[in-house]
Amino acid sequence: MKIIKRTESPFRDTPGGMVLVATRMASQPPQFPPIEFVHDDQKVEEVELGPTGSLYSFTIVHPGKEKQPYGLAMVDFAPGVRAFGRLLFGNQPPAIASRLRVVPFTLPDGTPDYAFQE
Amino acid sequence: MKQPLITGVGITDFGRFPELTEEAMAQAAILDALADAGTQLSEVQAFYCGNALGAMLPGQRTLRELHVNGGAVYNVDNACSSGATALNLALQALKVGQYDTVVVFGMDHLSSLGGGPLPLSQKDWNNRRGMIMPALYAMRARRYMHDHGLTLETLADISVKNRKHGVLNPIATFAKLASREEILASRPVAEPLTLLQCCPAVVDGAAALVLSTKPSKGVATPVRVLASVVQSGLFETSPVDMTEAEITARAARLAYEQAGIGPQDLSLLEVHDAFTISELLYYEALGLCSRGDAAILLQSGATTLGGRVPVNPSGGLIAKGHPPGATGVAQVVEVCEQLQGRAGARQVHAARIGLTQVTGGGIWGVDHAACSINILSL
Repeated sequence: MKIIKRTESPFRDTPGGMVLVATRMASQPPQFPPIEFVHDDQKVEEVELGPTGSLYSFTIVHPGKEKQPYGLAMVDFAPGVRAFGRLLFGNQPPAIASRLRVVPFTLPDGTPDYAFQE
Repeated sequence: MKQPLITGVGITDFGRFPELTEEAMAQAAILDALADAGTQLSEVQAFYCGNALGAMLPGQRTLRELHVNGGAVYNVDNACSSGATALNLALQALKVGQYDTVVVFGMDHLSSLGGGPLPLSQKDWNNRRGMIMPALYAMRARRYMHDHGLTLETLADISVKNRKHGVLNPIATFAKLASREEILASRPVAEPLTLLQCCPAVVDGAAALVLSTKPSKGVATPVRVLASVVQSGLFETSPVDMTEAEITARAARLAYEQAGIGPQDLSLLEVHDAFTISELLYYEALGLCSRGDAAILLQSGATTLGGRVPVNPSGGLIAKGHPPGATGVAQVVEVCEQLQGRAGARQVHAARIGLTQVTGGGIWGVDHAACSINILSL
């Protein structure tokens, strides 16, 4: 059996804004993060999430004196998928049930990624 | 089917012992348990070792200098459920007659890891983006506060309660009393959870049990295991209710059915209070109260020593600490000592049936990856 690593990006820009890209396998619910490996000729359907979702819950992590606090969020999207990611905010974090956009973000190691912002 | 009994228990102090190793601590717990059981090491046919954060072959590293007889050593890693999962496997082997006497032990030495939250795999999608265990539970707490009106004060009161219990437990060397105000004023870790609402990050410890299907030679009345259940988390990518501890509720249903009892029959529980919110969620998942009523149960005093059904009389993870491999076994040690009337100042009056619950997590898509529940009685 062949093991095939998918290389498609988990996010993309669309005319409406940045979206996340979930995947759905036959008879399975969509998932995000998208499936990374498929076997033989398994069919993978891409499902766009966003550009906005509803904030399910969040926290602000305080990693210690030397490091900046950062936000984390669980965000629910219309196709019935919950996505996890960084939460960007100004003075105050958004309230639960706020509409959040998918926005570009760079991970601490320099990798282009996504985050959520009101 | 044979009837295994817990014939001896052993536990080390839980605290910071950087000068020790997990092997040395586990050896001490095993020798204590054997002495308690009146059993010789040479009578033990197999060893089941729960360990989450040590190096490879933790059981054999522990046992080599005890000069065991070369029988089977089973190393079990199920994160924080490792020790309780090891017990479940041992019970299966005893029931079918594969062995008649075994030792279950668990240990971890967090002093060796340098502090901070439990290390999680950085290959994991969520962990690469900053997830740590306190953050996951903080998000549960935040949502529970939104859905059920839980207050910060009630969250802190779990820590107040378990610290009051912990200072009565001589092995809980790290336990300190703290007021609601001190707990809320301690430094934020993952909002709304503050430092004193999290189990301490660096605590070492080990615990052991002797189980046998032979008549007990132990110093205390042997303990029966009425139920032992291990369940795994479901892969969830849809919007599930994070305030529902689904795997614990599922494991509890199976355990109550196996034991032929209900939550109303319990005298005490030891649950996985790694964070204050956890204990409240488990009140509901274990059927001690209805959904959304955990705060009312706590504030009634029912789960405090002297109440109707004390929860975490040992001090729990918050006061005693949480060396993950040891925790599930340590909970069983506590319930055995309570049932046997050997719990000293923290003795639960007329303890008859006790339940232990432990979970293991830290991977994306499976909120709790493992859950073990045991129900014990004399």
